[in-house]
Amino acid sequence: MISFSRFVLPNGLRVIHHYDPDSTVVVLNTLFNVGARDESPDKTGFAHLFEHLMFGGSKNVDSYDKAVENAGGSNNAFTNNEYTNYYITVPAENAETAFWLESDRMFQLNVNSKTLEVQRGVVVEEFKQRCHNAPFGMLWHHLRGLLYQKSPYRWPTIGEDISHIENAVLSDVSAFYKKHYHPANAILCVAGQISEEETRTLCEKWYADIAPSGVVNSNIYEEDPAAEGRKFMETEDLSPNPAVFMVWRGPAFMDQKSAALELFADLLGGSEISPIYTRWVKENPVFNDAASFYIRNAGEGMFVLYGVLNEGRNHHEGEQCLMQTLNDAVTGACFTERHMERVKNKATSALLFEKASLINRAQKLCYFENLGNVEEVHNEDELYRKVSLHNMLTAAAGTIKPDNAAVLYYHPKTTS
Amino acid sequence: MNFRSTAPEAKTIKTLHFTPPKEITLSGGHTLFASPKRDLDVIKLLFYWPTGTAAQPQPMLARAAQSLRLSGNKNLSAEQIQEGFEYWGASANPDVSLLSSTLVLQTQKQYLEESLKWLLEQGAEPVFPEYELSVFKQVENASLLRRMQTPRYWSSRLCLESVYGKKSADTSFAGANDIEALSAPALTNWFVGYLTFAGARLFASGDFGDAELSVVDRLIGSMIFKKDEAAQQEPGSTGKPATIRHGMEHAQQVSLYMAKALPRMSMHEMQTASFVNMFLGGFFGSRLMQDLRETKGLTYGIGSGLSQASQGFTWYISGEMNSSNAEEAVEATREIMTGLAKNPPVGEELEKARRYASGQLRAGFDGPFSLPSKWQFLLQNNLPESYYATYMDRIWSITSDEISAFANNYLRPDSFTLALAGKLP
Repeated sequence: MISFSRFVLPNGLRVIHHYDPDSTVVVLNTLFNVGARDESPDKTGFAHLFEHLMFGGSKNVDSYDKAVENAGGSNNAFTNNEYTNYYITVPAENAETAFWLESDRMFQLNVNSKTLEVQRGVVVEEFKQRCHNAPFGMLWHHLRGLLYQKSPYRWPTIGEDISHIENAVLSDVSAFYKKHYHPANAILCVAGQISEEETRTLCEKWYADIAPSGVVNSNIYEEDPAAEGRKFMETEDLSPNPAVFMVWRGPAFMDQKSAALELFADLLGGSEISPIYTRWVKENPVFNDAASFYIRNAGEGMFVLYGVLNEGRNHHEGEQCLMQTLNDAVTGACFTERHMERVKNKATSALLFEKASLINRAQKLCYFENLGNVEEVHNEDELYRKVSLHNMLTAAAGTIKPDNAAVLYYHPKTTS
Repeated sequence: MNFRSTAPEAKTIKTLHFTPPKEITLSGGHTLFASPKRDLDVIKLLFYWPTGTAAQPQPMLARAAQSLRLSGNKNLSAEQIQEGFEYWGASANPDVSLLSSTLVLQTQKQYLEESLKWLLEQGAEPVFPEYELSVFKQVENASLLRRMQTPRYWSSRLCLESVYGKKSADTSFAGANDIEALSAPALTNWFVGYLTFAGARLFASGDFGDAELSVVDRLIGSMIFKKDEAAQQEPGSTGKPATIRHGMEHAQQVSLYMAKALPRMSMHEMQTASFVNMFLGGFFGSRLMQDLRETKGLTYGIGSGLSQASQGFTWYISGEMNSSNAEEAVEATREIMTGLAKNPPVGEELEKARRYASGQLRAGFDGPFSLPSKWQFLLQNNLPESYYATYMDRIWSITSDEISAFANNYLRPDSFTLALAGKLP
């Protein structure tokens, strides 16, 4: 159980305080409700580029990183399709430095052409390193492109095309900041060795004068109509082995079916004793790697099933193997009540270990607040516990239909 | 007056705040280091053996033996054993490094007894079934082939093989032939020699109190501790510094890797090395990161580090960049290396690094599971418990001249081997 208190400043900033007497540090986790799904289709990758720019200094802070280091702290950030998350950890006695730094870049970021030029270069190299220099590096570009036609979930966080980043100009990023980076579109969690009283005082001091300036993202976005029919593409990749990836759209995080699908994915292909792995990697080695998982999002989720083929095996055979086992599982031929107990125990353990970390707790509190109700953080385990074998299979049958899969075949790159 | 223009005072951190783990001798003679109890409902129990890849007679042997220890015994199959853990929501995660092997049992507190008993029963006498071994080989081969598509794999491999020699304990990059050569008898020999529960030291952390200690003592205390001496390690024979270029047809970037072997050092020198490395590329404010990434935008990431070697440490620098930036990046890196001797950090740069290092040193002890890795490092390097406190003192006492002298001794660019792999400039 994570204990916390919550209050809202008049400018709309939602603040959650979580006290940990065993910690020697204070974490400030700031979630801005802006992610890749809030980008314009011709300017993708901006949310992530902006994450880099947030470290370029602000009106009263020449160098964000220098100031963090001077306080003995560390910081980082990540962006996904739905939100951007910044976190800073400082020794407890330097908590106010974190308030100063985080509030100042919400107050007035210093975005200039020099910072933009440098970070454009950095992000372009990141794009190449992650997407062009690694096997299956373009996977999410392909899978999202297959799944969606209209939805802004159709491009990955890094951006659809590297040219969008290369062409980013100062006016674009300034407008992006003004629109999305303000207190009413943010959630702050203050966690660790700091009292609620001090948290309130420091929040008042450092955040209360920041005016809301842009939009409060509603979490509503253009959705694609329900998937109909199989979608297919094939492409070449650095991987020396061919591979088959299959993906389906699924329900959102707070939907009970989402937890059911996560458990189903874990049972189907989440470990080395799952039917996907034992049948097709061990007993009849069609693949050298095969798995399934469910990505839970505030918006739509994604069910992913894949196998990396062994030499001499072909894509069609691979797809059939995956579908055969999926069909067996959905129709109830694979799992029993013991499987349910097992997968729920795994989920409970994973949650408990996750919550052992102070940063994870801070991020989780912000995440649930962003979903609409931070109190739901207490029901996370219950969401899994309530899944029965019957409703897990019903959720799977309703989501993972053979005829509406998006299917991707990877071929090893041919020599030019 | 704009109140925001004045930074709050950042206090310096000069002390560590942590309670050291309690060293307990179990009934059979095993040593257990118990971290302070935290109310989390979960526990990590780490088994530690002081032998790793540096001692293996053939590449991949140490990792395979540890990875396959739960792959079947005379009674149960790999699936049955794994199912037992998963049923309790527990896991047993193996890891092997150059100088040690570990196995971490992660479990909910309420299932500690069941999962530990299961681990001790099922992981005591593996038979390394041929079937499981063949699956392991198939998976490892495929994984190796994928890694070999990345420039980073080749830059690090070619660089380290040049520094230590291809057959050295420090560079046991396994090839397809090495994977194929793994056999059940060799795995069994290794396991019996270095990985038995009787020979393990233990580290407990999380929600681990007297009741849990009593469970562990009952289950493990019945074995008599048998100290497994680390096998004789073959030192790497360091070759002459070289420059290596390896082109890769489909690569989009070039990977840079520079390395050299550092000899065994005193505790004092190790602390100096660690601090000097920080200035080079050990944190975001380091010279490499600030110059190559933040000022010039040449790379997404570049950094340096000290990794354990069989006879000391390897000092390395690595990063990926666009081919057209590579020459400039190499030149800038060399200048920074030389610059640490000629223009060592003084004033603000030195003070900032001290503040950062001391804060991070303290933060490294935060959290319920932080102590085992810290104590493992002490055991592995035969260091006293006071190491971390003296490191804090060292951070605040090291002088600019000492940094310059250390860099002059060990950081000359021409003493490092440079490997560039990928899309060559």
